[in-house]
Amino acid sequence: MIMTLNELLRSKVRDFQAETEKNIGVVSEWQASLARLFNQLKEWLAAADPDRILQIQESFKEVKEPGLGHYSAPRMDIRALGQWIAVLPKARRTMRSATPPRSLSPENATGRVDVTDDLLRYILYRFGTGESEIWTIEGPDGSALQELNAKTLEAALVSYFR
Amino acid sequence: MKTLIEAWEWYTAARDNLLRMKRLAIRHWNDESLRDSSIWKDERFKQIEAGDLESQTSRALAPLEDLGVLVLFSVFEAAVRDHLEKEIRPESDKIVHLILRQAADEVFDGIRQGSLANHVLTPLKDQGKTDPNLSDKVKQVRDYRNWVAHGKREPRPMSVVNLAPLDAFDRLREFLDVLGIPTRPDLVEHRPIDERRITNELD
Repeated sequence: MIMTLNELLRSKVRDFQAETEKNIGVVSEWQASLARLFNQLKEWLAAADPDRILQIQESFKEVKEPGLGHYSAPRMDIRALGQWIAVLPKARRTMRSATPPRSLSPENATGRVDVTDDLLRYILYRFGTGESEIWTIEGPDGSALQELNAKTLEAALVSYFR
Repeated sequence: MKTLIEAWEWYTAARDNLLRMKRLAIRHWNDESLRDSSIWKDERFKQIEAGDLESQTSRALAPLEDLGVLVLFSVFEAAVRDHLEKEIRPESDKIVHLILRQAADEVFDGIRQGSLANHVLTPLKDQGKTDPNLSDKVKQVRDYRNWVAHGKREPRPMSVVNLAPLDAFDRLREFLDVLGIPTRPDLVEHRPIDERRITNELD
């Protein structure tokens, strides 16, 4: 039997809403984690740039993630000296597995945020959730993951402005 | 691409593989059973997330229908012009009179570079070599191709009919058949006609 456009759209809307509602808890946890990460990044940036040369603009972007539906996530644009760097949430669900710092065995990443100027890309992977979450940073050369902290963030930013 | 069939095969291959990639992104990319797959060690894939794959594929798919019509018509146009030139050349080679030779050269210029409608489609229709209805359908493909090639400026003129590549392919192939221009018959014979439609169900 051939579906009418109206039937098809209703069916798609039902599927889409069901998918979004099913994942609402996962998305909320991810959004809270991103909020914590972005606050931490701002603190580290403020400490590393006491002269306030970096112009930081925060906004929200709509993320469409297969399996999770649409959700809103923060993004950060950093501008200085004619350079632009974006901090962009990419995915809550990622297939990246690695041994994070302070861990003995490989774990599945639980989120990904990219730091990029479209040429150079550092990837922040999250492992664990909630209280036990840890953020790591992977360089453009794909070298071993390092824990994300003020020092490793600053080293990454230096490579954009060098 | 030299023949209409080759152009059609390019279009369907590009479309089907993009649709497969989109489906892979939406339905399978984050499947837990693939976690140990070798794909995540491949430099081309290891940093690609499902959302990126889906959005990039959608962007690639967006203009493909129009590109399909554009390429199909380009190949068709070249095939018709080549065919007519080859058909007329033996006749013109026999012409001795200078004025007639000059007139023949002008005809060749029209066939090679002139308006397809004025120098090819209309004369063929007027001479009864092609059905007026089919000729009009080919002109509709040409009009759509021109609209696409000039940037799809909105609003679309009322005279420009919206066409999918399959519509264009069917019309152009019929026209080539009427003129006796081969469209790679070796492949056509072995291809069930409905296969072209089955691939539409991939999405």
